[in-house]
Amino acid sequence: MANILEVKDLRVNFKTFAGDVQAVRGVTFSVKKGEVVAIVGESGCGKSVTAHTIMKLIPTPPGKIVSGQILFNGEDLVPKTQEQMAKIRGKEIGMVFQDPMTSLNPTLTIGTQIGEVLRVHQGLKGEAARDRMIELLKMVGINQPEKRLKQYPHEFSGGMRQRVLIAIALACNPQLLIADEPTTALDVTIQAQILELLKELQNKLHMSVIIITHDLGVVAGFSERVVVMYAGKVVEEGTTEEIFYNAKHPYTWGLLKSVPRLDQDRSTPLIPITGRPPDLINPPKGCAFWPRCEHAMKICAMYEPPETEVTPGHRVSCWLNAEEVKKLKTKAVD
Amino acid sequence: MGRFLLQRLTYMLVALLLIITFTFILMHVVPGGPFASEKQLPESVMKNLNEKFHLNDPLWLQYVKYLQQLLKGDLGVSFKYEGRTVNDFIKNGFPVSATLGAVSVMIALIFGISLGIISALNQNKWQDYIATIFATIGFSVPSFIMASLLMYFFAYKIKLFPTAMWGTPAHVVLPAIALATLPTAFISRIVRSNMIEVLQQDYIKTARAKGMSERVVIYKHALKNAILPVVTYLGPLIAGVFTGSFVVEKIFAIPGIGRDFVISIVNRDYGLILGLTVFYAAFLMLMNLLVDLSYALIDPRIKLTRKEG
Repeated sequence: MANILEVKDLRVNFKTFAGDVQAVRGVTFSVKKGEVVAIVGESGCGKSVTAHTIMKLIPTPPGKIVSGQILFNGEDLVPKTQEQMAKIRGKEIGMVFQDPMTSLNPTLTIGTQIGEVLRVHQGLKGEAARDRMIELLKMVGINQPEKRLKQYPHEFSGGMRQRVLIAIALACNPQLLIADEPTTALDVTIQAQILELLKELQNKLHMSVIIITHDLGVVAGFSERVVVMYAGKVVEEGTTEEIFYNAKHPYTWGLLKSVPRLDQDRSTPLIPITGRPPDLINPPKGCAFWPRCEHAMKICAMYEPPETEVTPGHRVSCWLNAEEVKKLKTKAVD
Repeated sequence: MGRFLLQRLTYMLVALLLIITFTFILMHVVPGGPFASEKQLPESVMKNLNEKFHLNDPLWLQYVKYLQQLLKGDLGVSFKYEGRTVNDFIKNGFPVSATLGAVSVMIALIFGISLGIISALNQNKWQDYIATIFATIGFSVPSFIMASLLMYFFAYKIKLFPTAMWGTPAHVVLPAIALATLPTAFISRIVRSNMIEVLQQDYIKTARAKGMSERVVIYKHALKNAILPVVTYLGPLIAGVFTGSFVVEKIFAIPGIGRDFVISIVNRDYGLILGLTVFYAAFLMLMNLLVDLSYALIDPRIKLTRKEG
């Protein structure tokens, strides 16, 4: 199937007083039509910056797209101006953010905030707009939509606000939805509801979804493919199955081990990935993960690992998987 | 809402009573009286004057009598200007001061908010620095110097506006600018800092992610949130500016109420001092009430309800 989005060797820097932070360092991945892709990684790995860059929502300055392409339906978004992007945002690509409590304007009614999207992108006004808004609120599971439209964000709970934000993002039937940690700020029970809602809507509307999260539990039941990011790079990418059952990168192993499991004895402590992510002003030579990696070899600190394809579509960047290293290892065993 | 209003009005009456009481006491504690500055008056004349204005009565009786008179809507009479009541002073002076004040407030709002937005959108660029310089000048140059400078350049040098006096719209321009300088500077700073803060909020990101144009993001989504502190400042500003700045009114020879106020104090004109104080205080409180009411219009999270307990 055709790729709706292709991100190619994307590099994004942020200027700070200490120097340029290389937040995204050559990210490549793609999203097919109707596909759900999860981007996972810990805080500061560049997953949010990647998502914001696709929408060109990073503040410039200090942010800057250094190089790379973002092909949306084959058209590069990187050279587009903010005015050109405004026509794509909310219409072709919808976005849902992390914190529903602060993501709605406190001084405008819900109706105003949904209505303006319909007016700007679809020219809907009056009755037509109202009918569509009621339909949207029903779609995201908000009761009494007629009454709710006249209310302000402070009259909604966190989960309800996230539903409103999803309604806003989906108002114009976008081809792609970017959900940037949509459940992180919510209670666990509400998290499940919102995730259920997203799944249901994705099925119904056949849109592509990029879901950004640090919670592999979120990934398991929703996404078809997973992109694992570390220190501004994609370290492993594959189908959800492959990532869960046949992961090849020590960082992915670490992420999987740090997820609590129901089938585990409750006294078994969770295993964290020790250490901290590297400083992205001066990223380490070689593999960015080696200082925290149990399996690190000398070569890891010296050269960047090449990308190898484990099975078709399952890519990993780790020296453990490089052909040369594998050969050496088998020799050593012999 | 009704209860809120009732409660506020009660508070206002209590505050007003306290203000009257303190002004009354202070006025009488200060040595001298309304007739002390004149050249030595004959004993009999003094006696008659004191008699006429009930100045020989015990203070508490004068106080009670004044309150009674206030209840009837009579603010009293001037002790100095024969036959003129405080109500007359207000009737003549207030419209003048109010016109001047209204124009000043408009100037302050328009220029203050514009400068603030320009500064915020161009944070740490030359536009911001220029706006900052303007604001610093506005803060630090007193209104009387500003008034003199304006008069010198725009009235004397290039003769664009009349030097002084009152009557035509052209007369309003220079004093209004002089009076608006400080509030303009103040408002521009408030708007700048709030705008910068608001533009970093998540809901601004949401608005951009919805594909709103930059104009809509700034004027519809950001400004409404950034303007609330300006409304707070507007209450005392309107009261202060409407009731006139003595200095500016004096320099431009404008027959406003501010001038009357200060002259009344110099003259120890007991009637006029009290009357104008009551008027000023009531006006200030009314403006604050209006500001509080307008909050609810701008920010729906603010509910006007009676405080519990």
